[in-house]
Amino acid sequence: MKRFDYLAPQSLGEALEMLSNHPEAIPLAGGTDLLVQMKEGRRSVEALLGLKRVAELHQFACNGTLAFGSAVTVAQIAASPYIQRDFTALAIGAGSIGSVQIRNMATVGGNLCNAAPSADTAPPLLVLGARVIIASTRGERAVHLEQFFLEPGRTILQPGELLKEIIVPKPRAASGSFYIYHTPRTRIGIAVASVAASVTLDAADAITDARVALGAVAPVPLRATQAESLLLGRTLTDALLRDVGATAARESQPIDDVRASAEYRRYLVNVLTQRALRGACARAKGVG
Amino acid sequence: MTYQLNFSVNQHPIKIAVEPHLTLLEVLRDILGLIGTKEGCGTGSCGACTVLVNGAPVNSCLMLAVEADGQAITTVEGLPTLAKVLKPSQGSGNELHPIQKAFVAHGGVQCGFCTPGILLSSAALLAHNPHPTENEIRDALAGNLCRCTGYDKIVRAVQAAAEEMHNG
Amino acid sequence: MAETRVVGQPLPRIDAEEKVRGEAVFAPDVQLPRMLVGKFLPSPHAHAEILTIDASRAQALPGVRAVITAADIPLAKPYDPNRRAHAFLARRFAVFAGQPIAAVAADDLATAEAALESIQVEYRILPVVNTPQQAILPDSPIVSRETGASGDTTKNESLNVADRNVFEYGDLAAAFAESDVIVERTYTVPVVHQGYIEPHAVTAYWDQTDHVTVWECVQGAFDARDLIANTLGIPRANITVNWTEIGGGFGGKAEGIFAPLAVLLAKKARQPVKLVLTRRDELTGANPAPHSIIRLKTGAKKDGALTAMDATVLMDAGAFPTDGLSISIAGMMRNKYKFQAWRLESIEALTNKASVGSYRAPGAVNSAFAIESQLDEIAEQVGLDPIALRLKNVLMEGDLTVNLQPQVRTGVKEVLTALAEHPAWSDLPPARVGADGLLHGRGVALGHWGSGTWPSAAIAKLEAEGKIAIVLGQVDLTGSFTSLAQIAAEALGVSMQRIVMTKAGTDAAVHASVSGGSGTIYSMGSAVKAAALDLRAKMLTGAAQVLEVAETELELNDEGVRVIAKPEQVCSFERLYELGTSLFLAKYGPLIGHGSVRPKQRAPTFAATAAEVAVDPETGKVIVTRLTTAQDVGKPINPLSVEGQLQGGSTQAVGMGLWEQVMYDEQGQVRNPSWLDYQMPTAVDVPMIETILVEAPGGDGPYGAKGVGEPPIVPGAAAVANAAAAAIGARIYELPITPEKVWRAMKERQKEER
Repeated sequence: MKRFDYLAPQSLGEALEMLSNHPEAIPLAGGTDLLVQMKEGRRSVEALLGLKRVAELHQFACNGTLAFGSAVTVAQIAASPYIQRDFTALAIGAGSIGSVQIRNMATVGGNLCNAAPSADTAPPLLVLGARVIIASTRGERAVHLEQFFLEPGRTILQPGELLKEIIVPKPRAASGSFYIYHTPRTRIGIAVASVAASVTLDAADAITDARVALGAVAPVPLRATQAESLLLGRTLTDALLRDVGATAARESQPIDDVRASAEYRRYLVNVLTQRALRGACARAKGVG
Repeated sequence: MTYQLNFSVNQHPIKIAVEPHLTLLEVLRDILGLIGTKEGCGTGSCGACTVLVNGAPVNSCLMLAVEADGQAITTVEGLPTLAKVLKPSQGSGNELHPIQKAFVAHGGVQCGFCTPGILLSSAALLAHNPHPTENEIRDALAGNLCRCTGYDKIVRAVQAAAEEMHNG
Repeated sequence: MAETRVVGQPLPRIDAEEKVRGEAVFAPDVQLPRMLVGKFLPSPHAHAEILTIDASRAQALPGVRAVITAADIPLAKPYDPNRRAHAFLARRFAVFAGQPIAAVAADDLATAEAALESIQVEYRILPVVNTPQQAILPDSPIVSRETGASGDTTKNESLNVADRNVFEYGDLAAAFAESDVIVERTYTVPVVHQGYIEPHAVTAYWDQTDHVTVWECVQGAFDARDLIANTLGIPRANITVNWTEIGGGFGGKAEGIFAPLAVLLAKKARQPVKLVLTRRDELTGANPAPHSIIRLKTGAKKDGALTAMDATVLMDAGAFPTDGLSISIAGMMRNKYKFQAWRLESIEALTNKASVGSYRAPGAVNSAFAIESQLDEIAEQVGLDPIALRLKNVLMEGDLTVNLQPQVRTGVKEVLTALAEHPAWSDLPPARVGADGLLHGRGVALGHWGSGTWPSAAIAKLEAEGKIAIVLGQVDLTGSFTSLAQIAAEALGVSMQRIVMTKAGTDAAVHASVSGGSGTIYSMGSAVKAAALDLRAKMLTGAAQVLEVAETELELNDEGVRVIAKPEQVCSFERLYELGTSLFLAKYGPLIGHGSVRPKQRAPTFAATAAEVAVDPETGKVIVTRLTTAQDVGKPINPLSVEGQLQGGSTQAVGMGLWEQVMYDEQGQVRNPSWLDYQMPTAVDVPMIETILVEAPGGDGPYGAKGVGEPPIVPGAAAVANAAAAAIGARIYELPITPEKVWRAMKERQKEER
């Protein structure tokens, strides 16, 4: 790689100060996207701001609500029994990124800030109602994840701002979530299409809340709100699933690229939405 | 501009000054002369550069050396030492780790280029999962590409090592 | 076959320990004092005229020690525009994206990269010849006037046609007229990369006496020496090639096409230069396997007897012609089975892509995908089991090959029978719709290749401490050194522990051919055996002198040479050595055995693979659930190693069948130049792979051994394709069989069923 400057803050305050004074510095968490981009010449970097020593960004707490720093690794997220049980879609999403080696380095914050349409933690966090805390020397602001992504590779982060924390509200009782992605190989690969779903059921198994989010089929990770609205008050049947799947497919905005055609991706959204909802319902009922 | 890097590699404390643009892989190979860790792709897809950082497998091609400050790194050269740590009564500290012995005995090595990375991923797996199923072994190695073996004898070698480490 | 003692044992590789310790030195590991980093500037354009190159800013960068362009290539040797090797730096034209335009040697990688960025090149962009279909049209742009393609302009044919050939025999029309079943399809195989994990790497050191020493991962050290000599006009006596451990080659590292860059940089810098390719360089500008489009029409009688074959093979060579690869692809389709009549046309086309090299049985997978898929359809139509159909039609001893030569004795029937009797095939096939909700299918395919008959030589020397050293210039590509040691031990009558395998570069070694073409054991194995036997004879002669008996009264075993009738009269190996080397005690000269061979007999080899797949009926995703390969290996010198070859080759075949493809856009740019999107099999993508080693007589290899390395890849992609067809109920004629293609095929089928 070409030479660059390196800043090594020891605290969040120091990191924000450095970022304010060096707006050209790019925050470095796991590096599994950033270093690849630098090596492939897709990103020119004058300075990196290493986040390894910023303790605030590595914190992790789950007491009903899940709150974790942006530099927590996806391996840690995937391995957490709390997250597997109560925030299943996120555990699956985090666990589907790359390989063991990549997961030991990659962070949720990095996954979100890289803003790839196929980011595997994004659809799960969208259906789980996540908020992100953005910090700068000017203070902090909380933003719903729906507002975070602007276009491929770009988020709402302004110069001097750092993604600090991700907060996921405590799930309601009798709710469950799921995430499913498609790649040509058995496991490894960037998702061609992915869907996360979260449902809350009442005593009669009718859906009182439903969220569906799509990955890799639009410029940004996307909530399929029309598909969601079809589910409210209904119990899951094959016919309903087919409707919901078709609707979600219509809401997607996939493109043709080296990995797949738009047509196939749209079709996959239909299939994966149905599977994600079945998975979420099974989890909600405690059987998944 | 260089940064002081204080870390340990295969249980040896190391203090060197490095430029920040160097990856851990480059520092291990070019500065410390530990050529066992290899570069196959440089972008985190093949795992030939796998090392353990505090026991966890990572792609050293995607880690800046400066970010290894304060960490304990294990490369393939450190497996015998690791074996001695596991079984202090045995061997000189240069004897092969059970995983290495198993790869030799069971045909898990052909060209040998992917081997260091695969050995470390396997050792890390067995350290936290002493009785892995075939699927668990394959999952643990999914980030280590091998083009020669078709993975069959690699899986068998890991199974044999697990057996030996459990019984030995 | 005769019982053997050491040959046939599944011994661990003799180099396994140094490899598991990470101590084996591969080409990228070579370190020399004052060594520089070499890197080349790849052409951004698939086709362009190079107008000017201004490297002055690169020259001036601190830490840059040399910059080279084509202007630095010595005029000593005539430039052959048809040879890829001679265009290691583009001359007037860049003919593929990724072709080196200039190169630098600098103190470190970051400086080298900065230097490359500062080189300014003015290009005149030319139209890109993108596909072979386009390339052969009379009005197609020409790949480059300098490649001198041999198209015939009187026939109004494009100059991009590098080669044309027809194999013809019999009355084709009549044979088709007699057929009860005729199938005609077009089969497409894309460009794939050999996928060796270690990229091309070469270090060159031009020392004071105008001699260059090169350390390189190559499959043929003498071939590499030839390439450097031919491209740079350097006498071979001034070139030393030291081959290193090689991290996979599979044909893609046969002769070291990047060495001239390192050599020229080293000459100019007067310091050693190490050049290592990035994975991106490999996937864009190395020498991958060819894209081919095969139109194949075959006919059969209703009892399954094959009648006629009519085929056109259009092969994309990339920017430089091959040495008959397209002809080989066409011929191979016919060479497994008997036909009454055939017409096989092959056309080799040039396009603006990196030119192709060899990949494990070059062209055979392309060929097998076509014929083996087609035979499956014929089997279905005539109602025969696919293996039975093949058994009925395979070429037997005496039948005519496509070259109208009589086929020799092969193990083809044994291989097919062994697979048919194995549970992988003899068990009932899985139910098409599984309880798991997936679609299941099983398929089989047959592949063939030959055993390389390469001129090979070896030295066996009696060494100190009772050791026998075998000195070889043969690159150890596949673990052959272990097998060669076993052959030496067997021939000598000693234990493995006495054998020391010594690697020698081109200065110290006697000639070895390239490690490839399934010829290392078949050819060098015979040379090693001959050298060992020669040494053995000389040891007996020496011992006879020492023990003062006739040679016929002696026997040699692991203890040394003893008098048969009086076993206590022994001459140990240590003593034999001393009596040939000690200044004052020597009774004879040092004991050395030579072996020099050129095997004459062909030994065609056959491999058959059975595959089972499970297909997701909605997404089209294909998972391989069972994989079994049977191969006639003659005599497995080391069964552990041979099994490994079968498993590795079968896995590469699965990769070609399901995921691998180098994708190009219309501008000749590779769209997936990384291992993220060029997808090779990982550990979760294949099951355990069952192997069946068949031992059939034939050929003149050592102890009955035949070539092993290449056949395993040949049938696998077709076996997976046939399994997928059984699962889906529809056939896909283009590799790789991606989920999207499966989905489309299933959609089509559903439409047809309505």
